[in-house]
Amino acid sequence: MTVDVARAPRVSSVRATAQWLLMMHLYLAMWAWAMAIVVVTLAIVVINTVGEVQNSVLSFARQGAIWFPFSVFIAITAAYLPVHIAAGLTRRSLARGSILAAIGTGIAYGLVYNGLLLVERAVFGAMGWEWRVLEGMSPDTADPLAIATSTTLTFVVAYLCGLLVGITYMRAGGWWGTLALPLTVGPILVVSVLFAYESGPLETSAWFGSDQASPIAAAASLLIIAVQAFAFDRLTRGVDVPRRTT
Amino acid sequence: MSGFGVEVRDLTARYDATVALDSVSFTIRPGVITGLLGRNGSGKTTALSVLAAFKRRASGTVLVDGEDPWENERVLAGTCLVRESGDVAQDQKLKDTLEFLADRRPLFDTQLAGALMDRFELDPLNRPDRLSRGKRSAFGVVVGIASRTPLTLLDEVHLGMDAPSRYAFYDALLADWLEHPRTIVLSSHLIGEIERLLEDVVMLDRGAVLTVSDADTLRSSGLTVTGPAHDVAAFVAGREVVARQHLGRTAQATLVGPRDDDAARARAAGLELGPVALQDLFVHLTDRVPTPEEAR
Repeated sequence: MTVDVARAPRVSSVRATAQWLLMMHLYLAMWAWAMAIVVVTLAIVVINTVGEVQNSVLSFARQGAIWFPFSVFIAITAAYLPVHIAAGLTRRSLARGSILAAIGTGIAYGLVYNGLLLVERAVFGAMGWEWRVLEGMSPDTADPLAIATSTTLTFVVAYLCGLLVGITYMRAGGWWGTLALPLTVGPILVVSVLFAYESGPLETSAWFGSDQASPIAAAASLLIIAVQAFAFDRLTRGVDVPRRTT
Repeated sequence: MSGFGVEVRDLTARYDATVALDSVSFTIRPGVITGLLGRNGSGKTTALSVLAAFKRRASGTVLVDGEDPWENERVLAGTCLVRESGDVAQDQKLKDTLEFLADRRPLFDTQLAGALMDRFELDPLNRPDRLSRGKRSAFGVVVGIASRTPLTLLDEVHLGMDAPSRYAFYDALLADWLEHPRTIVLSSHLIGEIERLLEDVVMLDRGAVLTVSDADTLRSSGLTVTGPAHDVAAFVAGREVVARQHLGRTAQATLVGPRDDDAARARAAGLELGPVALQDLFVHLTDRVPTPEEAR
């Protein structure tokens, strides 16, 4: 019996995997951003009542947008692997589908975050409030394109870090998974520092010049994304499905 | 004949320093229901995990339908391993999991899945993490049968299922296999229940192959003798008896190693000869004193 001539699967396994994971993350994102909008709105109302609104409140959601999906990607990497392999699919399609889902989720979070920043900025303008970003690791810039580039790339790197943390723990176990955290989580800090320019601890604007810091940070982020994707693909292709303990 | 055949040669598989399978070799014929029998820790689940590419082998050769299953898109699409209650998303509705599988399994039969869901009284809107163990196992059975893969590996899928559900499972499996012949490997401790389904048997013990045989040949390696207790005792004197039962003055003994003159002797003594139960043979073949390491 040959399965390939009997009936082909309805959709490509990479696409199906990416879609399934992406839908799961977008579902969670919908809830996360709905709650963020409520909290940010309430915070602005409270600040306006007790003091003076001077800074973007939404920009503080950037950390949440990094770490919440990051943790979800760790959990889903562990939970979905047995489901994927048991459905007769390859680790190759799992790796590629997961990477696509992480990139897609990063872009989605970037679009929502930057879209909401624009809305917040418009509201601030209408109310006559000053709008600026004062979140610790964000550049003190008002250029929407620069903010969109830096946040979206940071989100993508962070979510790929989530995949790497999950697969490293599965491949290497608790000790090595923990010892490898500087490598698996470190890229988030590297990219954050690169995009922080003069706001960060390294003042990359002084290193590369204010004109070059942004393109260099973007190029470095893309390089890191490529390395992360390669590493995740290699690690995933050799992973065993964990034994059942029930 | 249809279904994937399996060739395993010198397969060794480890969990860290523990050797789960030590250079085992066996063949599974295509289109046949094979029983993979063995005591706890004998390596059954590891063997099935390697066949389904859940686990890497340390050494040896594994061929499923003539090809290495590891990262083999065609072979994996045609192989389904259901471990206990199945590897399905625990927080998804059952109907969503069935749709998920229908999109991915080339031969998945949605209608059959629906019929089996009804038969096992499974609510499609329920989730695995909210089901009893027996119901979770029943859902694993639904997935395993409805996937209709050329190589279906069912590893202790009956756990937690009550007797009516287990018999419904055996009947459904056999009925669908007769209609759509394929290779099925059943691993179970309930040998007496699955015996009637098995055409071939692979027995593992402590990570090694104990025996590979068709079930009839295996059964013919022993026999039961039934009759008056003293006549049975005389018949089996000096022979290897693996099981004895007494009911009043009637006794039944299970022997291994039948002899050519058994039928004539039994007729002369007024005793009845019968086939041996696989369960009795299994207990006999795997009965052993645990090593100090195992006892610990």
